Amino acid sequence: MAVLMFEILRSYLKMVFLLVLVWILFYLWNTFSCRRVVLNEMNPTIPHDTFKLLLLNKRTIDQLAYDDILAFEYEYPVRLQGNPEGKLLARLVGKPGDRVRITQGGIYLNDKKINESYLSPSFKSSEDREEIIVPRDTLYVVCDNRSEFATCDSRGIGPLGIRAVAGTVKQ
Amino acid sequence: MAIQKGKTKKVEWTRKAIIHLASAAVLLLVSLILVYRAVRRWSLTRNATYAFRSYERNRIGEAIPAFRNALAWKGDYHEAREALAKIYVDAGKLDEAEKEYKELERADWPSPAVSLGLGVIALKRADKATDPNEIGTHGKAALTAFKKAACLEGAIGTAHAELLLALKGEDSTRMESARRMFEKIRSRLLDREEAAQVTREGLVDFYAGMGRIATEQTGYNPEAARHFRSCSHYAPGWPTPLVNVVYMEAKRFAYTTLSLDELNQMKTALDQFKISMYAQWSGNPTLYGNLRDPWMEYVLAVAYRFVEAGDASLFENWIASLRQMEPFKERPEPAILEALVWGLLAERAIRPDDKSIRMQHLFQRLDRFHDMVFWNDEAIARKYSTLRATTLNNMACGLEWFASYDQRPANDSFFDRAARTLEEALKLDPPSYEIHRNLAVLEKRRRGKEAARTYFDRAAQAAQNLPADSGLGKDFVELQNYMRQE
Repeated sequence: MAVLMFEILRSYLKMVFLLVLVWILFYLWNTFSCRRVVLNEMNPTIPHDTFKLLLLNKRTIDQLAYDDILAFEYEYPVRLQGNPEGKLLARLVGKPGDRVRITQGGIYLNDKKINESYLSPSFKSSEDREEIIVPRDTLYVVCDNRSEFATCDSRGIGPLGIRAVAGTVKQ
Repeated sequence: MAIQKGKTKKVEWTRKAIIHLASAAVLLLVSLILVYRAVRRWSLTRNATYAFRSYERNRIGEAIPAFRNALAWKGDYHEAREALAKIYVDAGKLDEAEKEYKELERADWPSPAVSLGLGVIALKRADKATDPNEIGTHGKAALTAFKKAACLEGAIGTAHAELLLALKGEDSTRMESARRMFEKIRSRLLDREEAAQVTREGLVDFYAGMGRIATEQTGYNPEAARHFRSCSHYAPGWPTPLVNVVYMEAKRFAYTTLSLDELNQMKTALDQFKISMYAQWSGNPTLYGNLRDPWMEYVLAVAYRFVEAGDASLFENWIASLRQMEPFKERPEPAILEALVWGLLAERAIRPDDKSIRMQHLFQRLDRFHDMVFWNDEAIARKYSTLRATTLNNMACGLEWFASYDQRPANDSFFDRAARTLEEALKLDPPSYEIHRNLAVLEKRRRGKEAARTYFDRAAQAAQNLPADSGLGKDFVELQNYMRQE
């Protein structure tokens, strides 16, 4: 009798273990991803041709923090050389309701200049962009390589819809 | 012994067996229903997620069928229907959009986006209409829908409707009312929480409205330019905000006198603006139709300022790069711009130290301008007739100036060429005061007062419509004095 009970329990535990394993794999597949950085959009922070772990987008806008690096996709009017799918990384600088303006390449958030110590002088830009209010359900994102990728982030495509964001880069 | 058949088991239809079979059948049916619902839910979620992602990733062509598939699985998926209606509005398919919004109204979907969407549709119809009754009907419908939305975005829509009705009906009272509404909205948008509730389209309408109100005064208004630039920042590929930005930049240079130092300091910003515009064109050739005329005006205004300040190199670079742009290849606009600016160069003081080089260039360009094959195209010739007349007039002025400055007998033919050029300009713009006036001055110098009489009379006729205190009005007084002299 005891042996029989033990056998039943063993089979049951095997089944539970398999289910837990499947659930863990499913959770990992649903939560993490990997992306190869094809272009130089985040130079010098993330050089091109590196692989980065992505936390897939399950968070709301409130859960995203300023300066988070986001992975997004966008159908650009012009095909990006070497990146026809339009998959890029950019840094979050503005959330809905924020006022964002760019003066001589420096970003002002609600009239205060943000700290951009991550920028390298060789990748800075000197452009100006008129102040806008970041709309509902959108984010203002900017690449770290400011000079070469002005048309690929919110300076060129406007505020990005939250659903265009695939995930957050784990640093 | 013989082989005997084995006894087969018979199904015994006992009560217990029937109950077991029935239970199994019911469980099978329930499983099938659950599997169907699971597949349906999975398909709906997959289509909806894909549709929303495609929409926000600017893949509109993929988003529309995905939304339709999602709605095919679940007809009361209101968020999908709302998004689909919005796509139709953006694409200009107002009837399809209205159908979707009406469906949402029937289903009592509480989102304010339904009223806002119907308001936008009515507003777009009012904008397209020309009959005052139709404008009034659509305008009232828009106002009703926006008021029903009862949110900040609804207030923006109401202000925009007031502005449109003011512009269409030339109603200054309504314009003042729209101005006050926009100012109130501007104060409300300073509150971050409230501003965070407004969609991109609402903010585009807000800045466009603010810009439009600020352009009520003539000349260049920096505030209007700022608002239009903000508008364009939201949606860089949309034609209307871009057209407004370019027109305001053209006005800036047309109405503002700038020194060469100030212009040189602006060169980097001007180049960046040009590069960003060309990038827009390259990516979206359909913008060309909207942007061609404003871009021509802008390049001309900038070139004029630089030429007036004494530097022709910028416009030559810009014309050369314009010729390389896909929409302008095989088009007359770069050549027309070049001819116009050379006309300006000829009209301005031609520097004595390099006059020979400039006059050679002037003759080459005048010949090239005459020979342009585009003038064989009636539509193009008609469209640019006034600009051609201005160019020929300016070039004739340059020829006359040179012949007067360097008074050698060999240059007498320049007077003849100037007269012929002015006659040609007159054919293109018969009522022009300037051309008649220039011919009167030239003919008096060449052949005497009587030869100039006809042109003077026609100039006098054209001058009747000029205000006495305007530049040309005062010029006519001087012309009269000149004609009285021997």
